[in-house]
Amino acid sequence: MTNQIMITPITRIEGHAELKLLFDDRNALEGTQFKITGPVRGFELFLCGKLGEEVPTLATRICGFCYSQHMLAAVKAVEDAWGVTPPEDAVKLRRLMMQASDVQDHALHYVLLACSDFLCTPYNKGGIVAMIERDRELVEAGFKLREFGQAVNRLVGGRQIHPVTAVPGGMTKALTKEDTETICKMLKTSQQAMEIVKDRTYKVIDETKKAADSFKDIDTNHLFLEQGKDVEFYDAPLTLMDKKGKKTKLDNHDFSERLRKPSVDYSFVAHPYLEGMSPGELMRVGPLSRINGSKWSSDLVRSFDKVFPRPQQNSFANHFARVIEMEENLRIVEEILNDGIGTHVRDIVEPRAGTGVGIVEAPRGILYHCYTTNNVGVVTHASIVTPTAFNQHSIEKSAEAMARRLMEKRPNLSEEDLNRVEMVIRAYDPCVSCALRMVQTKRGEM
Amino acid sequence: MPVKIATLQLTGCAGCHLSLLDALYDLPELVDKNVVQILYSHMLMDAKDLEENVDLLIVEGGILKTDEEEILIKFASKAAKVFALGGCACHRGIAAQGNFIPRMDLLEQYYVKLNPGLNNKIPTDDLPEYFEFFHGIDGTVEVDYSLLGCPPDPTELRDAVLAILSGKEPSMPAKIICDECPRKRNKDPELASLDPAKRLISVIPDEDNCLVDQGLICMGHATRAGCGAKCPRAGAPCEGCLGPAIKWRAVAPNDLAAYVKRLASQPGNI
Repeated sequence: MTNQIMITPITRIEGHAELKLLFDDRNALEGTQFKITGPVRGFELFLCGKLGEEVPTLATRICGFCYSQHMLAAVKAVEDAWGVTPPEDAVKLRRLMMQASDVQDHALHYVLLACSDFLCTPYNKGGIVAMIERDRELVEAGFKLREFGQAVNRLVGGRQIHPVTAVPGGMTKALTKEDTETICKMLKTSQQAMEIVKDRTYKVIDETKKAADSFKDIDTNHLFLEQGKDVEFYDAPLTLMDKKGKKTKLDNHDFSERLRKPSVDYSFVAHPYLEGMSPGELMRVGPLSRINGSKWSSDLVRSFDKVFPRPQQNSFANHFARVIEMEENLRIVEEILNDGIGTHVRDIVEPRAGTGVGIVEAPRGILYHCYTTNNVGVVTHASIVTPTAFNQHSIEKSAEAMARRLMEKRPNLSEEDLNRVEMVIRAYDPCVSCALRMVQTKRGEM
Repeated sequence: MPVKIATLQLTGCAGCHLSLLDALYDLPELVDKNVVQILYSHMLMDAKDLEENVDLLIVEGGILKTDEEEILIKFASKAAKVFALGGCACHRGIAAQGNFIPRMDLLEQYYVKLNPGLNNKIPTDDLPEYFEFFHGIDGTVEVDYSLLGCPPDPTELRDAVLAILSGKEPSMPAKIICDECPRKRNKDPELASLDPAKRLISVIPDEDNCLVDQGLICMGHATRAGCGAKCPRAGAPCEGCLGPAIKWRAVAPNDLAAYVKRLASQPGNI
């Protein structure tokens, strides 16, 4: 008979997921299943029949964590389909929003939720409340960083959650002088908050390293938008890095053609792969993938290299990479603002028949939107793959690797052990609402 | 005595939870001063189940699967009051757009028909079952407070939560979005209905005048106030996410008639 342990719900993540550990009758681990149990809402189906310009504000509702990224990936895809190039000032606004949103998201996941894995004991008592008791200054810094990201979302996007300003051809709102002043003022406060986060990150680095060294994580390929000296999440060439660190550039449309989404029977989300890669070969996305492919060079990056030499495969390094990204993103936001953003943020555009791909770096990694429209701009086909869908198979394998390692020490996993397994999953920062929209559909092919 | 709270996410996007965090920006203080005590919130902390009774259960998201109905009933039975937070929990929200397609067809298309050559199946192994329709929570449990919005505006949400924490009923403005909107309305709505509708991509509206007057479809005058008309201020038409106005202004039915005409004139909407 097969025995099983179910970890449910996996806590401190967005949405509903479970981990099932399966054992044979001699109590050896037979396998693991990372189960996404949140339901399919059907975005790709009901987006069909909508006008292309309506898609960004609908697509933002896919996720309550990375709304700006969904809006911008969607608008990029529609613009690609219609052959539209938005004005330079609009692109600056979008980059500003993209980088600031990343700060918001990482502050929530790393500072407020995941960090307690390394700060709080006993295990299974983590989370925001435990953190408030343990280190209120750090929690307040996390809130400050979130507030900053949300303010930028509000001022650029019209509202902080599910923004509305991106439209094919640009943005419906330019920044006013007062808006820019507000952001600059908040930037100062958030840079101070960032110092507190950095300080604590150095303090928990031994714990993080210990967690990383406690098991042998999986080796995978990494997929990211190419990162040069500066972080760039809005628009850069899509790049695949193999296990040895060799990089290959991918064309967005080729990538779209090669993307396959085989279903698995135990999870509502399929395990995507690229045709041409060997079956079962994994492809990860996210902060770890981005830093592996980057030329960033801050002091924090040098510290990272000492602890986690690159190319790095250990999932726990994701946390450190998130902190680096927050700092780099604040720097880029300041640069964009110093550079100045003009007010020519929109052009009138004409729809046309076509297929467009929009790929951005969401906080959790590559986010892919693809739409086909007819000649008046009505969507006839929609396909969306989110970072957590890309990562799902890797999450399962990392959790399995951790469980195997722990069972070598203690064949009957304790509650503390199970939290260790959850910690690996948390290092990926899975986002379940997002992941559930990844299967493609086509209208009228019932 | 702190107010004991649990938050539950059903089928939703987590945006309402984030709006709650935005609203309660002083959460560290509220927890420290023992104003609130959070007992369950799978997104924010590690408790795997709700083990004791709470004063307030905040529910985000609607119901699309059988397990969601079960956990909602179980949690609500341990809660003195239930707060339906956001469009999905209140009256179905965006996921209800999937209700126009028979559920099994939707899943069949999702997994199988559009992935030819992959042997895909609708996943079923130890997974919850779907309902035919995505629906709000009020048909399943008794709801004491509700707040619409996608997600609810943090300022309004803060007022509502603070009112509930101090044992009062949250108040709702009887106004409409137009009352909060700085844009000037110049045309009679019935006359405006004679103008052809314009698409958002084909007009760059000025900052001062009503979006409807400039040919766009804006839901502001049929929508309850409460957000400060954020979208029209940002040059984007109101989507009506705060739900219908409590007291409609006399002009609203005419405006709605105008909209039906305008919507009918748009491609894809017939």
